[in-house]
Amino acid sequence: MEVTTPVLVARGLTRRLGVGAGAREVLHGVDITIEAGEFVALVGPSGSGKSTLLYLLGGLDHPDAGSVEIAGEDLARVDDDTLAKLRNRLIGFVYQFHFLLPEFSALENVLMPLWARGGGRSREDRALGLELLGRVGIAEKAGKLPRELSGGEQQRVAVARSLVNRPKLLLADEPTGNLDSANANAVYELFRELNRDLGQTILVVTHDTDWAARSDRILRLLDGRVVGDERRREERA
Amino acid sequence: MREVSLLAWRHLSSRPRQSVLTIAGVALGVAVFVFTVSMMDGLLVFFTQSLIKVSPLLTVLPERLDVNLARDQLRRVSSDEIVSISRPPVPDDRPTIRGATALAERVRSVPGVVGSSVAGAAPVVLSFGTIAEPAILVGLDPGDEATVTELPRCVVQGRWDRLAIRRDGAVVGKDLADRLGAQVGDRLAAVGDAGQVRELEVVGIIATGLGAVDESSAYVNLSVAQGVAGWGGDEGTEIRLRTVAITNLDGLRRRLQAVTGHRVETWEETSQASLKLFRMIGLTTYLLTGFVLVVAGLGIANKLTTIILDKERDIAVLRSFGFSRGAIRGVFLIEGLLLGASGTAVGCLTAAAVIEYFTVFPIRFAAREGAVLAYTELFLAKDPRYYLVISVAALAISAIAALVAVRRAVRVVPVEVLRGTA
Ligand SMILES: Nc1ncnc2c1ncn2[C@@H]1O[C@H](COP(=O)(O)OP(=O)(O)O)[C@@H](O)[C@H]1O
Ligand SMILES: [Mg+2]
Repeated sequence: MEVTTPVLVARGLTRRLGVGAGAREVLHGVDITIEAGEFVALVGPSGSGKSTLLYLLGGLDHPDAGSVEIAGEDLARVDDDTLAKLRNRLIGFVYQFHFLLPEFSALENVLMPLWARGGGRSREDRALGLELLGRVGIAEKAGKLPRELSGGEQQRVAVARSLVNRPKLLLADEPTGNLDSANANAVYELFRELNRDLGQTILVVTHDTDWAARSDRILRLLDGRVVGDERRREERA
Repeated sequence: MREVSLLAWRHLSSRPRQSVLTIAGVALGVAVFVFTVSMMDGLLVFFTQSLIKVSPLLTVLPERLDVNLARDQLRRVSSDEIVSISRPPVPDDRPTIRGATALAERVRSVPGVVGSSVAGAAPVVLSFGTIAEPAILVGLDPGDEATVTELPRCVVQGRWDRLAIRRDGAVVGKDLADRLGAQVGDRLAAVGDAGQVRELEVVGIIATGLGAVDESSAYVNLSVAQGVAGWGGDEGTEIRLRTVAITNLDGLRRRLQAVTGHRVETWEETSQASLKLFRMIGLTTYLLTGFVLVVAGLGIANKLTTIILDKERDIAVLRSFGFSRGAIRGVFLIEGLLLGASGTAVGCLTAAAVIEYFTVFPIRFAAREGAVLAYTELFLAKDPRYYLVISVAALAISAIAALVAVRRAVRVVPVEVLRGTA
């Protein structure tokens, strides 16, 4: 195994949420390192701080203490617009809801992260978008509006969108939380495939113990602290 | 930029009804403004045209300026030469001009003057049968007057020329004649201030469209007015002038004052009160229609705010995968300007079409007794500046509305929105 920079290095992440009397520390000094190609499940009871942690790792939120580096880039000491550019370049997000823009077709939604950097119109970009839609299994629905798609299809479009910028790290926050088990399983298989075929590094928050059990590594979060870190498979392809 | 425009366009096109309503609001404001201003300007133009058709462009008045001129010259003398004036001189305000015929002759030779006519206006009571009405008897030379105004052409019954043939002929204002019940051929009696009586025969009825003339004037030969008023054979109350130019008459006015020693007034000064009234109505119109536009601007701000509130989650998502604040601002500014520009375009086209329509098929009003102006047909002025002014104003208001509304979009903090919805 060659020595590479870890995709993610987070140290001492502390986050305080709320204001006044309601303010409390939600994360108390979390350290995480994720290597390229890992498929990591983040599990923990509701309210343990999983989403809060994910927003910090994805550069959507600023920690009160600690640092985050993605592929060697420090997210802490940059201004808002630079941070947006770093997100655009390095990170893919999938949320519990698909969050597709209703006025745009599936393909347009997929290409949207490229629009943010002034791209997304070239033939290559469109080909990439179609290829990703094909990979998530709905190439034939590229021209459909989100409301013309089923819940599972919408979430697949969201997954394709999160991959279009070829992110170093794919972050997913309970991506199957709103899907029935068949669709949830399909999305899981999709993640598994992305990880295996493309070597996509993935950190996914999940309640699904099945899913967690099938990942490479399980991080357990409890009351804002990492309380467990199990590697499921020693061997890496 | 293309992406930003596309986002803006989709936001608007996916809510066609709302967008059309907002555009219609702006269009209405713009169209109302253009049409109203065109109407007000049209009224002013119509009034001015009616006025200069029958009024002298310059009038030499009885008031003498000799004393004032003398004082003027005195001012050029150095201060140690000045003797104090203990009693300021009183301007000569005799009610008539003497030697009027010679003076009229003299001013006719001043360059820029094309015609002159001596007139004498005297208040009288006109009676026909048992009806008596106060009136102004305007004495003039019917031939000379034709070189100054178009009064002769405003005669609607009888003939102006008959004044020259009949020494006791009178051309009577239409409304005055109606009140008296007099027609061409009828004989009237005119009684002056001092009780002098003259018999007159109606030889014509005149309708100028101006209330001041049609309501109360009767035109007669100068000698008749002189007789009624008790003036001498060479006296009049004004010398009426036609000039080559219609506007910018001030230079000529001052020159004529120097030549005659009398105060000389331009038609704009003579009708100052009416013109001021029209201008004030115009200003009020501008302000009122301006409000319509501000309301349309509020419509844009409101529409954008609605979209932004509705789109808060989309804004957060766009920002989460890398759209900058500037790009988000751009999206909604473009939306505001698109709405404003479409509304402006539609409004201008509508106004132009409506103005064109009413030019071809004018609205006619019933003639009204006692009106200041016989304005019996909607008269619309056309000027590209109306469209320019309103377009600039409407776009500025749209931009301001968008800038105000867009602050909310820029303030969206993605993580707060996403945390709230996840
Ligand atoms: N804006 C906030 N103000 C105060 N507390 C908050 C706020 N947002 C989340 N929390 C609290 O932070 C904790 C962690 O939340 P979250 O990261 O969403 O947990 P998880 O995703 O593991 O369910 C919860 O106890 C939640 O109540
Ligand atoms: Mg959560």
